[in-house]
Amino acid sequence: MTYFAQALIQGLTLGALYAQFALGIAVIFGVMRMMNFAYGELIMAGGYAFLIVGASNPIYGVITALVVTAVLALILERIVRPLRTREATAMLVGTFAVSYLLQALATLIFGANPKTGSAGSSLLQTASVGSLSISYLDILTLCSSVVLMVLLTLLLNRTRTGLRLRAVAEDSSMARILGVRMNVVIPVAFVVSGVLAGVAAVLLVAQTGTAQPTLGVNPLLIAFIATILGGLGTFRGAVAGGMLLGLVTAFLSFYLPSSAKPFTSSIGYVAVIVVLVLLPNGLISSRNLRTRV
Amino acid sequence: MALLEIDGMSVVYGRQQAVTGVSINVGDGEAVGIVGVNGAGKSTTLNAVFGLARKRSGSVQFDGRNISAKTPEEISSTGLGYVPEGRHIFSTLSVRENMKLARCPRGEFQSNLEEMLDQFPILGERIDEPAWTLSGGEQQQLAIARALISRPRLLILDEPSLGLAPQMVERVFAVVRRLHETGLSILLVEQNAGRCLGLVSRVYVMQKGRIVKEGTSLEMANEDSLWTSPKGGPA
Repeated sequence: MTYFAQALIQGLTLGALYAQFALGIAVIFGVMRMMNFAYGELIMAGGYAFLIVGASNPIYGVITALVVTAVLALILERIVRPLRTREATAMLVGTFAVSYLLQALATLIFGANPKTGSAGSSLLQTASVGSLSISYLDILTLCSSVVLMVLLTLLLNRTRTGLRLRAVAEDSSMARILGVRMNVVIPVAFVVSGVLAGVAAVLLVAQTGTAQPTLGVNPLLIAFIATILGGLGTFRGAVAGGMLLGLVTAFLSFYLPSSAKPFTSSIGYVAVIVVLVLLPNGLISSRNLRTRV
Repeated sequence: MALLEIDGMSVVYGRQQAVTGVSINVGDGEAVGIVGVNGAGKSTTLNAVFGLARKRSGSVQFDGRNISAKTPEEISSTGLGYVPEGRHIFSTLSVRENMKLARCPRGEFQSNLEEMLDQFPILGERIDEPAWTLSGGEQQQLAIARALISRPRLLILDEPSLGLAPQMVERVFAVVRRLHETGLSILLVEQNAGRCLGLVSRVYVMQKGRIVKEGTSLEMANEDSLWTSPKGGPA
């Protein structure tokens, strides 16, 4: 029972982190129908900012990471803005280009090898509840995910900006006809995505104590899978996809025999394929298309 | 001077010429119709007026101002209201949220909303329900009310009868007629020529992206070509 509870805690923590990754992708996809391939590099940039500034003061490190990722997200928005009226692939290629550019810049500035630091290392200490143990970082991951989801829900459901974001996500042409300014709404979505990337970067670097130019590659892959698994274009779907992926991965790593553990990710992704075969639109369909006469 | 003046407008989609040299005008307080079969270029014309399709040539003037190069966001503030084909309500948002999205002068939303709910009582009864739960006719009323809440001077309706049961079509046209009687200018696009002629004073007939005929409703009612299609649309 303890073993199961420990796997559940691990799964929830991993799922919460994956949900954050996925939300950052889903926010942009929701309003622009664009997969942001540079999202991983936002995480990478935030990771370096936290590692460097957070070494002396973790709070300043967090703030710097959030500012860096939000500003980079805004710059990315300005870069892809002229491509909005072109074919969808143009924006996709645009984010690819920015992704490679940021990776190359990071290699140039920090080198290709991982840079290590002690930012957030104190969070790796564990607390014990009975026979269960949980690290402070895991608690922070769970709490930050809950807080971010509550804030995002409040933004989307209680503010005028959120209403416009939801409208653009559903039908951007109609939103424009009604006077919703895309050049205001879309940058807001990018900032939200940037902040999510910043928080994810802090949690990742606090866990590993390292940052490298490819830091964002794996989170990006996970974010894509979780977003597609949950249902493209829905925020709830991104959270559901992230949580499910995290839980499956954690339980597999706990319950698979040691000889099969190297295949944890592969088996997890096969499970994702099975879900997508059964539910091609993901766990939560992108919008209610019911029409009545 | 016409309230809306489309002059020699052409629209190209890729390599295909969708609309060629279309000129249409709507006077202040007038109701004008555009009829034509599916694919005649009616909706493309309206999309181009609203900046959603790129104009290759020609100009669009509204209330004496050239709006040819303006974005849809800018056009929405000039006094043009648009109810596009297929209603395009935000299905996951509530009726109130759909209304809130329309551009409305600060402080006037609540009074304008109440006025709309007086005109469309069914919307008041379902104000906090998701829009997808409304029937087709109710969704059309929501689309019209949402366009009206910003108090436009000209309301453009694209196929308001499309996909509606006959009883609902009657109801929607009664609403549009009532709005016109209050002095609102109307530009109505319809495949159903009979319904259109019953409401407007002048009609343009479009075929293959061009205006092929124009005249008063009375003149056009005697045009045989207008009635040869089985649905009452022009041949």
